[in-house]
Amino acid sequence: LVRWVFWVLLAANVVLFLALVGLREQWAMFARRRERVRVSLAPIIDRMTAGDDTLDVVQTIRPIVARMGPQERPVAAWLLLEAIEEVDESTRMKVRGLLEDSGAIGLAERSTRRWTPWRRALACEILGAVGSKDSVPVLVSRLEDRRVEVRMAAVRALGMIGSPEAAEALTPLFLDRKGIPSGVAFDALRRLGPAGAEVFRQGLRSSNPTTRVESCFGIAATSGTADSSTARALLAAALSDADARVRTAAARALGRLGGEVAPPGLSEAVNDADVRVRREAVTALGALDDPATVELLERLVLDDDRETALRSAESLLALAERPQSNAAALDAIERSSGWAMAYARTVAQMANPGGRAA
Amino acid sequence: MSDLLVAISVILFVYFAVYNLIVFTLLAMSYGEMSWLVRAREPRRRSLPPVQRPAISVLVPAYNEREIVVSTVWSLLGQDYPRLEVVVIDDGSTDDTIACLDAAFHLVALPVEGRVPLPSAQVRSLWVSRKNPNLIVLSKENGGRADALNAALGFARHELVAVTDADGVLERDALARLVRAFEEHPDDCVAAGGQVRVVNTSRVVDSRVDKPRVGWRGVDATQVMEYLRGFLGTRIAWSRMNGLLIVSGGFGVFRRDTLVSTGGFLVDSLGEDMEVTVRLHHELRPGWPDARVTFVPDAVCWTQAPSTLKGLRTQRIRWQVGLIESIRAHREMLVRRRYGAAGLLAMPYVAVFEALSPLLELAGYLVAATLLIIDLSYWPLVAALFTTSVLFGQVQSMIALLVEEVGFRAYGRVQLTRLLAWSLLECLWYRPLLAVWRTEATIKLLIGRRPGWGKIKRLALDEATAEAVAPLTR
Repeated sequence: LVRWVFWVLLAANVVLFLALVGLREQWAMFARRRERVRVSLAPIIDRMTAGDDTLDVVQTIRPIVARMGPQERPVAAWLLLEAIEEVDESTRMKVRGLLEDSGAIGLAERSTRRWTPWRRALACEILGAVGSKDSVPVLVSRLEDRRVEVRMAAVRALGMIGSPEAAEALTPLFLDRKGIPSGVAFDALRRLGPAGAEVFRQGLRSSNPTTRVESCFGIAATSGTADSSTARALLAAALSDADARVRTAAARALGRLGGEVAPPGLSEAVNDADVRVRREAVTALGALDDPATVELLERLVLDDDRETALRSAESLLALAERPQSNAAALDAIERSSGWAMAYARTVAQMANPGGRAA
Repeated sequence: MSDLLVAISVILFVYFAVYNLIVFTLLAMSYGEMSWLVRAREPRRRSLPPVQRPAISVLVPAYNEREIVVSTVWSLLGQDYPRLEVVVIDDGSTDDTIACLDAAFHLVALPVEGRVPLPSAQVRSLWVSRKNPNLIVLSKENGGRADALNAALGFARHELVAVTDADGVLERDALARLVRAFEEHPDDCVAAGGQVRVVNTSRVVDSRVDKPRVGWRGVDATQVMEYLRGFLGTRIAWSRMNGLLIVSGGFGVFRRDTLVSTGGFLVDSLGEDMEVTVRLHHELRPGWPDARVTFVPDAVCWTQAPSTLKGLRTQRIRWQVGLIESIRAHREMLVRRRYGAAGLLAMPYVAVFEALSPLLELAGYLVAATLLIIDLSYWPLVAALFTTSVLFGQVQSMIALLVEEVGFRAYGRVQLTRLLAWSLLECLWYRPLLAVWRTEATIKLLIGRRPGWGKIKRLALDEATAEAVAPLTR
């Protein structure tokens, strides 16, 4: 037995050593290939990202794409991803047109059905970065992929494209919380804007508290100035949710929305039985500009919970910088002798020496 | 007599063969995971916009760390993460750790009043840095690492807390990468651990590891290999199964509320990082089956491993005691489905193989030596067993290096050769030493002579000038 094991292990060691050496060589080859592709593509990518969308660019790309072997294509995809990551939307539109005309997008769409999972994921990523709405059906079909990483790439790509058509496909992923990590579905829906907001509104009615939590943040993230009052009303209603996590999320989301008048539920939330809700409510009050909340915050500076007291003091300092509340807040700060106010003022002085409260 | 010894050696051989086969399986799983990760790396794993990213408090316990604490804090403040505070806890240092921090960051006193959630030794003072208000320094009576972390949990302000050591050098994007685990699983991820690597002989410039190097000395090089096997080898696989039982104290992120509600760090534990991770599984999984503890291999923290055998002995004795105590405290989890892979697979593996293996390994050495003393003609059997043991270890090292190569390629050809050479020699000195020390720890624990923390000497690592280390002006 020992002899048999010995020979097996010896062979395994030799194979692994060769694999190690082979891997080094493979990386060296990959680096050379990457450099080769970069040299051939760099001038044309530069022209594309500079906004050149002439027919000449299309005619130059077409033979390059046709010539590329299966090893070169992913390298080209990575280079393209890096190049278009930082460009503005109008340039991206031009690049999109060029890639469509040159057949590169069709190639990427076909690659979403390749056997190798990472190539499928890469193709999804490319389609997302390019941002063509025509690619939405292809990406939606990848939501059924057997590999979670490919599904995640497809969801991210749908989010990057931002087309409302994707909302229907993403809705069950978010509401049923199956198939992909919930944070990925949330982020994609957030990027869809109003179409995503509708899904988050549905999410607020979910029986699953974690979906309701995410929906609170989603509503805050997708609300534009036009529908912020609707969003505020929805979140204020969520402050009376039975689950403390949802109330906490609603309070935090209300703070993100800002505004001039604190919803009644938010002022009441500072007395919530759950300390996490109280803390978030106090912070949210500091993000608004409602002078009526100053008295409440002044009282909470002396709260027994250290974090609530500190957040109240910080909120008062924040209100001191706001147009409506600054006079009342400055008076409250002057009156306050609690340790929390001293703490918050010292930190504020360090962070913003020229600040009014400091 | 000799027949009995041969029988024992065969049993031990089978035990170690099974142990190694399990490790090979975990390593192979890790290789597959890492192959995916390397393809799915930047720029495709984007994060949330800065305002929506969870804020982090980085807790850094420091006890007599004057040589390194300032550069560590600079490294942390320079993290590529938008919402961050650093909380340094001076755990009753007898050197001038606080004075060094004051000189570098200009500390201003803050009030320490207010009710904190966890008990700890008395907090004496609290400061904020005038140079960077995201730095808070806490001074308290000495109470040990876990006590210092518990105290800091009362003063940390953010929803996530990262735990690291005063000798840790985080890569610039390490926190951002670790937090992605929470962003992708915001409802389930309770803790995430990063990869800890050995910095000892590497070149550090501006509080960053500029060039990873493997030292000539066996104690340094062998630990580099050992950390690679441990972190890149098995933790990736355990994380995939949601059975990870340790988030290294060197670099991990936890939900603050979860940590506080489960009681924080166990003050008298010698392996508080493993204990707290196992406790999270133990207390959360029955009611929260999806709660996950994740390992993020591309979030890297470099740490100083002991560079002397004396320091190594102290550390390994502590680890062994911590391991046994964690298993004993949470033995209820053993082979229980309600704890998922953590209870069904990881706990039995740790108990049967990690905790027991040093004793059986030492027994193997003794049996082999006795066989040779009784009858020298057994030398072919002893030699075959020994060579097989070397080859088993070497296969583990090779696969770990393959994982490293696929994911990072941190070391050059010369460094890799050095690693392979030292891993071949491990069986001759390193593993026997560890077996002796860990057996000693087990025996001490059994007879009630529990060892303490001990102290490992740290060295100043940064080669940069004072100006480069302190980029901020007054």
